[in-house]
Amino acid sequence: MTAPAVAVPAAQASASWRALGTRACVLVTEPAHLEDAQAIVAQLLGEIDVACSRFREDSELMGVNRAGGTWTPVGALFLDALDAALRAARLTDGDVDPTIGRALRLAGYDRDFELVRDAPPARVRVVTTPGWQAVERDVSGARVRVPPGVELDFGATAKALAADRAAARVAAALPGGVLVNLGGDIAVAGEAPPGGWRVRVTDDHAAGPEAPGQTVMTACGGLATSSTTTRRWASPAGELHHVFDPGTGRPAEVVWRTVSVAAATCVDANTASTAAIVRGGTAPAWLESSGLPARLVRRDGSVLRVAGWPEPR
Amino acid sequence: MAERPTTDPQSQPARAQARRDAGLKKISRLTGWALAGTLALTGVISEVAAQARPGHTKAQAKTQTKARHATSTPTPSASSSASSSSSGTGTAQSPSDNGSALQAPSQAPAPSSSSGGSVSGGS
Repeated sequence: MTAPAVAVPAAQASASWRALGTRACVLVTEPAHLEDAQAIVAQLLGEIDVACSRFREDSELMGVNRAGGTWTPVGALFLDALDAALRAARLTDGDVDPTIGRALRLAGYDRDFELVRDAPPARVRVVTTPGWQAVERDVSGARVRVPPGVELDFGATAKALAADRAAARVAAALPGGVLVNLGGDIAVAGEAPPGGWRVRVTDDHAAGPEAPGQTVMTACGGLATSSTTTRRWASPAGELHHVFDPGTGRPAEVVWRTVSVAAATCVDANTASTAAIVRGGTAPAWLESSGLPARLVRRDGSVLRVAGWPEPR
Repeated sequence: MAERPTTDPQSQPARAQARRDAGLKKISRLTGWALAGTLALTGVISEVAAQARPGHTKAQAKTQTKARHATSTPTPSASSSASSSSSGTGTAQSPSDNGSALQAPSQAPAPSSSSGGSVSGGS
């Protein structure tokens, strides 16, 4: 466990640690239950990692990617994660697409990000994304098949799904309220503290709570931030960022450097924030018509708020 | 002295016509085989291309085009989603899901006069 990068009010307690290649943090309104809450969250994150990691040879996802077009048996959690990813793809017209895995790998993002970031620039290849419609799922038989050469990546949804599930599990098992934060993907459940949970939205989840940005109060659902300023790595063609546009197989053109979205769930919030980065100029109107409160930061740092996202005080 | 073969003036054009007809039939047969071969080759090449670049369906192309020209319409495909089914085999066009649109929060975030808190940022 590491010291929390969170300013925790006296009535709350928090714990944070490394998981899923990022920082996991849990806050509870009943400090006596912190240890139990952390254990619940840690167990779920372990299950998600085994099911969905693109960087573990023994994960179910890697088994599906390696299967060469044959059916692969998978567990219930993997199917849930796949459903979340496919739903995100469908509801964004493919702007968030789980078949982006091969494009990410050939662009150099083929292992834990710390290793990618520290590696010398290597030759990259650009490939188009096959499209989420290529994925076949057999729920009754609990198996999945993707065509040969297609590689899944749940990066845009699995962490958010884990936050939603973890918060719900803690709230069901323990009294009080809980906030689960997985690398900036936040889900809350149970009874929120008076006024809600305080959340600082900024470019980088690893920045401290005083980093440039805005603090808001949230009492329900999920809040997620996608940014082109983080997870960047060098390539011979220049610096790349991890939010890929499935339509081009390349990093999305940067219209918004950072987008934060609030939604009923963290999965929906992260789906929308990722799609907004990809959509660029059309994102504000889409978010507005979807009723998703959002804060969009342009390249120059100027901010646009839509659909009821509050102005700073 | 050997007798020179005689030529029937009537049968010469008839033989020429027969030869021409036979030639035309041959050309016609060759054309047919060439056409069939071309069609078969086209099929084989298409199959090889489809195997080499899977997933490029008309639906996908249409979807991607739509996405590139996205306007304020939130999720055009959401209302036309396939029926939810908790079992059975299917492609990703008909996954079971828990909603036909991204869901807004029941309560929007509220402003805060103080800073700090749990951090949401890119990761």
